[in-house]
Amino acid sequence: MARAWAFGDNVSTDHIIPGRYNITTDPKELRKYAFKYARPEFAEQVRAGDVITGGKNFGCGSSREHAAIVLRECGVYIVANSYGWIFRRNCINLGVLPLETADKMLVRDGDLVELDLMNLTLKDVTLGCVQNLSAVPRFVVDICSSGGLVEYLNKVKTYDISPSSTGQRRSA
Amino acid sequence: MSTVVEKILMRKGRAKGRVVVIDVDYIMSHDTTTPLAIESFRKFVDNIIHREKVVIVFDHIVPPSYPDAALNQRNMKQFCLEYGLPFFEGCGICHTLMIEKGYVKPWRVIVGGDSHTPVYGVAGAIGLGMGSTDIAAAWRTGQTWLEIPESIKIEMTGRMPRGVTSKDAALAYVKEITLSGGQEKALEFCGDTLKKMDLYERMPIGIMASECTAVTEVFHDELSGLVPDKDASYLDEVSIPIDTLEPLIACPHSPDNVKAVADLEGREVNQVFIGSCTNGTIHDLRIAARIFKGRRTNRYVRTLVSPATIEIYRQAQREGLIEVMLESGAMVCIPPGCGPCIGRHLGVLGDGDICVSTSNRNYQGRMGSPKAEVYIASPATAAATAVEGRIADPRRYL
Repeated sequence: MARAWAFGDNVSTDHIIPGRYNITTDPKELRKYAFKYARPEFAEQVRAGDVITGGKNFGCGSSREHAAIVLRECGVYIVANSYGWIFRRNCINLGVLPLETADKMLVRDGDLVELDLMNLTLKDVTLGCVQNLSAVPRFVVDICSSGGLVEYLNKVKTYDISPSSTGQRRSA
Repeated sequence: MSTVVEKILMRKGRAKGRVVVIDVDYIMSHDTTTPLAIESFRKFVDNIIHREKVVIVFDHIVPPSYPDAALNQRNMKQFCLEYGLPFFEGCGICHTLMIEKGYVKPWRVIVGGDSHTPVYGVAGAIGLGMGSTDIAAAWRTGQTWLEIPESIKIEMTGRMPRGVTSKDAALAYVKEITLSGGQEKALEFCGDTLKKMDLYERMPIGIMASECTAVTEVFHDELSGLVPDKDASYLDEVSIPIDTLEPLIACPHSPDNVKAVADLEGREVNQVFIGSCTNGTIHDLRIAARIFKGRRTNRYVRTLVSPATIEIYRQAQREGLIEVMLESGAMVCIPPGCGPCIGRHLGVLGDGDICVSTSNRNYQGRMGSPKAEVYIASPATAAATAVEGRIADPRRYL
């Protein structure tokens, strides 16, 4: 079972890692400053497998890929109602699934949660409720399961936008 | 039945439904996003690069203020040397420079490793802000992909009142659309107010589209054929009347927390920053200089003026604006760069500092300490505030 870290709407990449700390490309160094101002205890206490929940527009603002790198380095899952356009791409490009739910986010900070990627559910064990996750487009699954965009392009050589790749949806 | 964004993207790419793969014209990145792009690029099995499309700008920490930044920048130059890539160092802030150097033209599609890349829409191009790995992939393929966004049309009509600027018009629509209102969408700007504006004056309007999380934005322009079909379908149409507009200010800690300057007058400040990609052009410096001329800035306020490019700095010198700034007690910061706006150098805020800035974002901690407060306003409001030492309505001075 994992811990939930609950955030609200419009969490910006400045919140995820403030600009003054993204001067290195070293993931381990960057990780120390995860949510440095918004949640000073986060970097210390977060464990791999924990789930970050967000409202709408998670990861808005700056294009800094450092924000996605930080969360990948923490080993967390992200579930939000919606994402900032650039941040969502950055997650996919790094092999991190940006999971979405259309349900009102009920999960509270500190709740125990169970993420089921086969059945696309996020269960809040503390509250005893289940949130349904949206299906992930196949194109996104393909990139993420390759390990990221570079690995994907190494394999397919060019962007594959055939209907079978973009139109079909399947579970993550 | 196409919007302008649909027209440009369909012309540049091959589409399946609304997903389109586009041959991009230029790929811009800067000293914060390029180091990670290089790391991603090195993971490609072949090292082909679309050299003719690459533009690299050193603007985020110039010159470096940390050893790590200096190392990153040396590695970037090594990469540029290795692949024969053009770069600009200390010449200006990437977006203003891209427009000034003529990279941005109507119908072009430019990807940029910076969230404010959508500003290229002021010149009729589609700018797409991206992260480093997308930039590396664009270097490698010369292409990018996206789902063609639907558009919101924003019409600005009427004459700009005295003391009111295009930044106030920008804040007015950000308040209307909100921080998340542009998600997965494009903004298209039109109306008689905008036709009279040059590219520099349009920039705050283009830049702030990113503050609504819009994918991109573009200005309609009949001369270039950038007009929507009569039956184009827009998600929403928003009208911003300009003749009744008053000076506006975005309060901590969100760009859409917009209020009237008149309602905040008298709030004491410690720093005023005039510059950034949003308001660092000759147009902005002229506005500020009109207020500074023959006046002193408040000596308890650290007043920083940073022209967005070296060319703008030279022009300001020729027009005597730099002299006016220095006479008033303001610090003129060169080389041009992003330092203060992102809290890295040349004016970082401490605990309890209150700053009026002409930049674009005021998230907690954006310009330094998380205990500082940042107010986003026009160069006119910022200059009037610097003179009075308190948030001030610029209409008294213009």
